[in-house]
Order: sequence, then C-alpha cells, then structure tokens
Amino acid sequence: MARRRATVVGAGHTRFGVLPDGPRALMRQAVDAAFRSVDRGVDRSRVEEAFLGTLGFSGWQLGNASAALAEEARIGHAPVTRVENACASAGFALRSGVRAIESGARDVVLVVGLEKMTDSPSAHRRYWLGVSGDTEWERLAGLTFAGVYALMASAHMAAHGTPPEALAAVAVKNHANGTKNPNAQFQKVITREQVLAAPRVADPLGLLDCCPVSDGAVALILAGDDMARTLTDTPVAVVGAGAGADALALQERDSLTQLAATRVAAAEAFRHAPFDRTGVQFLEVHDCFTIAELLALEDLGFADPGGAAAMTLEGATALGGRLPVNPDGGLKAKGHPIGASGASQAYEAFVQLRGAAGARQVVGAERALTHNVGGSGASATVTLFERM
Amino acid sequence: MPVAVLHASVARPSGRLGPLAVEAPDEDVFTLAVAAAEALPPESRPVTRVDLVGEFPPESEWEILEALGTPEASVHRSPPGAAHLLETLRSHPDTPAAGVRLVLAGDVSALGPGNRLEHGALAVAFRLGDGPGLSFSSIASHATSPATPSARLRLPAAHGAEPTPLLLLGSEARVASAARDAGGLGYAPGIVPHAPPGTGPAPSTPTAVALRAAPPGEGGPIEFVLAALGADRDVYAYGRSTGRVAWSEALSSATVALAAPPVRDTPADLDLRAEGAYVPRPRYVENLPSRWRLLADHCGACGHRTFPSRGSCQACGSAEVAPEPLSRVGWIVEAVTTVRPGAQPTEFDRTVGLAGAYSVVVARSPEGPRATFQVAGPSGTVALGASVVPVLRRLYPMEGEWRYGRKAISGPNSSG
Ligand SMILES: [Zn+2]
Repeated sequence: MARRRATVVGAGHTRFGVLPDGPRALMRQAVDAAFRSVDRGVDRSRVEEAFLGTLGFSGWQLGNASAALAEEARIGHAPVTRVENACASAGFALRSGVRAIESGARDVVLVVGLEKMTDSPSAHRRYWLGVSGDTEWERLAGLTFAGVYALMASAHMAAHGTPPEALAAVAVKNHANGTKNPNAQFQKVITREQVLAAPRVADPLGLLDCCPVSDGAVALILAGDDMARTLTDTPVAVVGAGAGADALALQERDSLTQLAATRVAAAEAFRHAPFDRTGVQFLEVHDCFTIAELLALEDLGFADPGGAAAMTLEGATALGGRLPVNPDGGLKAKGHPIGASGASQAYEAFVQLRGAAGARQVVGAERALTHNVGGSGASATVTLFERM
Repeated sequence: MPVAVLHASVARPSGRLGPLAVEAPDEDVFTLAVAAAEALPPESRPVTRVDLVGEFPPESEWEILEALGTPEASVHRSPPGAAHLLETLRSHPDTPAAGVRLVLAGDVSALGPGNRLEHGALAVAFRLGDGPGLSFSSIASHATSPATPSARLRLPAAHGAEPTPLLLLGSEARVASAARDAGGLGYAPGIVPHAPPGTGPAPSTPTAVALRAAPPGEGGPIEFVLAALGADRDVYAYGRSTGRVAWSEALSSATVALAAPPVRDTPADLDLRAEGAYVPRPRYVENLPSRWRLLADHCGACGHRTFPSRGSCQACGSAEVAPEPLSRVGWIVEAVTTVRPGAQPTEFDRTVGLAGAYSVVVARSPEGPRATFQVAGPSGTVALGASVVPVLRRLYPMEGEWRYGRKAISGPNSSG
C-alpha cells in the first residue's frame, strides 16, 4: 500500500510589509483566507491539530504564542504547538504538520507562520535581528545576520570568483518578480547599477542585497491525500519533506561556502519523491540575502559549486527561464516576516501548481521545491510539492 | 642564586593622538598588561605570584590569572607610580626555585585640565626568578623634588665597563627632565623610534628617549633597563642591571588615529544592557579559557582539536582530551566583512559611535580550528588570506562590567 501523503487543500496569505495590523489580526486574516480558499469548504471543527511557526520577534508573546493562534483561528481546543527554528520556523512547522498526517495520526492540520517586526523601535529591532545567530562567538564579535552572510559571500567570492554582479542579478530578478505579486512588500523594479551603488551594510552586501524587515502571516490547511478530493478538485501533494541541521556558528562548520543543512534536507526530500531534480519546474529558495540564493542553487543540487553565479547571470532563474527561482519575489522583494517565510513559500507552491498565480504564473508548473533556512544555515527544510 | 629580572617587555596602546600613544576605545590597563605579559619570551616554569602595579579594574585579580592561565598564582596589588613599581621589583618574596613571578605595571593616558592629554598609556611586564638577569641590588630611588616625585638612578662609584643603554618611557616633559638628570651622570641622549618602521605613523616628537653611557672601560656586556610609567601621572623609574635581560615590545599594528582624548567610562556606560543575545556573567566566565587563552581540547584518540573547549572530542567523542591553547600568531583570514553603522548589534553601538565601521573575520588557527574575531582598529585593513594575531581587548559592557575577548590585528607576516 502506498504511503499516505499530506496535501495542501487551502492557503491564505496576508500582504507582507509594514502593516498596521498586530500579530493576532495577521494570524486571523491568514487563517480566514485559508479556510475561504478551500473549494468545497472545511469546517474548523475538523482541524485536529495546529502548528505555529514564529520567532516571537520583539518579545510579543514570546512564551505560549500557540494559545493566541488557537484563539484567532477559532479551532476550539485542538492542540497547538509552536515551532521555533529561527527563519525556518514555518518550514519546520509545515514539516511537523506533514508528518502528523503521513503517520495517520491526524486527517486535517492547520499550519501558520507569523512575524510582526516593524512595530518596534529600530534599536530594539537590532537587538532581535541577531538573536538566532551564535551568541557567544559571532554576536560577541559584532555580527548580525547581514554580517554572517557577508562572511560567507566573501569566502564564496574568494573560492569561486563569484562577481558582485551575480549577487546584484539576484536582487534585480527577485524585485522584477515582486512587481507581479500583489502581496509583495516591494513593488518596484531595480537595476543592477542601483544594487551595486547602494550603501554598504556589511561588505560585500549592500542595502539592496538584504531582505527587508516585514510583517505578515500565512496559513496552510493540510489534509490526507485519501480525503483531499472531498475538499477540493486540485489538492497539491507534499511528496518530499526533508530537513537538516548544522552547527550554529560558521567557525564550526566544514565549509564556509556551503550549507550542509540544506544538502542533507534536499537529499532526504528527494529520497522517496516520485521525481528527481530534473522534474522540478521552479524553486522557492531562502534568499534572505542575495548570496543565499546562489548558495541555495548549489546546495540543492541545481548548480555545481560556484556555478550559480553564471546560471543567474544568464537568466536561467528568471520567470520564463529554464528554472524560475522565487517567482513570488522571494524574501528579498516579497518580504521576510521571519516565522512566516517558510509557509509563504508553500503558499506560492500551492497557487502556482493550481495555475492560480496570475501574472507570475510559471507556465505548466506541476512540481515545485521550497527551501527554508534557519539562521545562517543552522537548520533547513526542503519540501517537494506536486499537483495531484 | 639571587632572584633577578629574567625578561621584560613593554606594551604600547594602538591609539595615536598627536605624538602620543594612547589607549584605543577597546584598550585599558588590563588589556595592556595582558599584552605586555604575552610579549614575554616563553617560559616553562609556572607563575607563582603576580604583582599588579597601577589602577587595575576591580575584577583584575582573577581576570589576570584567567588570561595568563596561571590559576595557582597569588595576586597582589600596589598603587600606581614608579616608586611603587621599583619597590615591588625590589621586594623579593620567596619565589620557589621551580616558579617565576610576574610584575605587571600599567597606566592609561593622563588627562590634565581642560581634558588636555599629559601623557600616553603604557604597560610593562617583568618576569622574575632564579637565573641570570637583572639584579636590583644597586637600585636606589630618589625624589627629584617633592612636587614631582620620581625614581632615579644613583650610579655606583665603579659602575660597569660597557655601553649601558637606558630606556626612558613616559611623558615628554618628564623624560626630558630625566635625561637632564642622567646627563649629569655621564649619559648622552639619543632617540628611540616611537614604533618600529612601517608599523605606524612616525610621531613628530619622540615619547621615548634612549640614553647611552659613555663606555668607561672594558668587561662583559651589561644592559640597563629603565622604565618610566606615567603611573603617578608623571614619573619615571630606572634601574641598573648586572646581567642581561631580554627586552621585548608588544606593538599593535592596527593603529587608530583618535580625534579626541580617550573616553573615560562613566557608570552609565557600564550599565548598558543587551536585551537579546544576552550573555549572563556565569556563561561569560565559563567560556573564558577558550575566549581569552584560546584553549582547545586536543584529542588523544584521534588527534582532532575541538575549539572552543568542550571537555570531549567533537570528532570522535573521546573524553581523553588534553586542554592546549591554540597559537596566538599565524591565524589566516578565511572570510571577512566590514559591518557598517546600523548593521551592528546594539551592544556595539558604542564601538560604532567611537570608531565607525568595524571589520569581522573568520580565521583559521595554525592548529586547524577557526574562530570569529572582530578586527581591532580601523575597518578594511585586513584582507582574505592575511595573517592575524588575536589580542585581548574590550568587547562591550554588560551587567556593569567590561566584557573582554580576543580581537584580531594584522599579524607579522601580513601584507595588509
Ligand atoms: Zn577525537
């Protein structure tokens, strides 16, 4: 008998950006939208369990945020577990929901990713932007994430001759995609020259190499594949759910130019999948900084080490290219509400594979990969989706 | 055998204000004293006693033992001043033949009326023990005047037979005064460069002056070591050797040009607290063997070095590990960035406010493990592949005290 699979039958996404709404309102909007999106409807009483991915940025309800989701989702007394793996919180929350369904323990599960970041004063934000990095060595050396990714970029440039233009090309492409996504924080095309001339944040990364600080929430409704068609005609199956971990600090890792957590997660995701890398039609990768998208292409196995720069510069990753990457604008242009990003990637897979992505539709897409990274690579998930 | 000064060293701060070497924002008397002690040549005998001469911070007793890795030694304090330094050097407690004693003296820059700098900062380290070295049997101290107390050499009637170099360190005015005094005793003034060529800007006025005695006769080599501290804000001290002392200097190659006199801490400065990424004091203290002394676990089973030290091997899990410090020289930069204002964690707002952007590196030790270091001094001065040296500096204040750690400066073999 075939292994039971989880499917996505509904998904809701707030706008990402600087929003007036608080965290409770954001969760409520995303969950309501997710329930509305289920074609034949599903009663909230059928949700048996929920998983909430959030960092708890700025300290709002740092403990027990799950209870706030239980209230706002109006799912009665169904258990809710908060999952915290930094920027990969929702990727891991999704994986927990998928496993609950695959195991047969649950039939309907709600997964929510949330972060409210822009309501804190800037100094308070800077406290929080580094809390998921290594505290005792990297933070005490004066690093936040921009600095840590900049260190990796410098090593990648030294090892492979990666040109600054390749980093800039990632930002240019993702901003172009963002203009086609009504939920994206940035709706503005930028040029390579603007990226290269932007003020430096942590060399070699400039302001336009970095994702913004964002608010937003995303909700996904999962159901077993044996019952999915009673809820919708076009469920999207999760056919691979891999994850990996690594040391917290760069200094402890085998390589400064590869994320072992991503490589391990990809290997696990593909192990039992019905297709290999050649079957993947687009990627949603964790581009918190432009260098991260190049690392992702190489670690996921879609480019050789050092090969992602050329692939990007020749346009292969653009919408309409050989392998579109981040058609929704990515974290870079869509925004990066930390705990919501992994769920947002799954949302994009859901709407793309149902052919509902509008102006950014990847033509004929039936199979997708999403990739969510926690911290500077301390954790990662890789999830494979296929239209049923 | 009489206890003698076996080795001596001086550490100058990396900040420059006009002609004076002054402490950079991340330096103080503690970091300078550690730098002076680390500049001493290797010594296999254990340290049994440490004397601190000067205004050391409150926690310095245990901190200095932690930094030096000499937990068994006793620590004694003396007030600042050359007279106290001489007194401390001359008082020979019973040092076991198997051990040595360290005398560390230091001072930060003195600010006079109107925040005007009167002299720069300095630290010296003396290693005392059995063996051939500098004996203090002929030292005398003498106050030149009640208003300007100082220590001064009184030459014996038949004082040696070789050229006798003296080194005066201290404020320009006081060194000039000392030179006049010594000139009356037959010494001729000369000039010692402020820093070795190529390691920093040449000051327009020397802050150190060497005096050399006219050779009065023949005999074995006799060196003279003389240290003048700005310790009681404007004094010097010197002494006469009956042997040879190895003298070394610890010089920072990351020179910081300061626009204003060194900042003095206020209680409010030390009250800064980080909200996120909090490091409670016990966690800070727990990591000091690795953070300060670069202690790694060397595995007896597989040879792997685990850094920071964890008490067992990260590669094979064996508990048969020997704690061994990694080298303090020859770290190679494998990744580098410059963190620009606005991208720093809030704990480093003060660093950015005083110095602007700073660089951070991941560097690999000669033994293999990597570490992450902020670069001390100006940003953008350390390149990929460069050799760096981890030196002890202030990081930031937390829980009312300065937290210290290693930062990187350009190493001796670095092209940058
Ligand atoms: Zn081992």
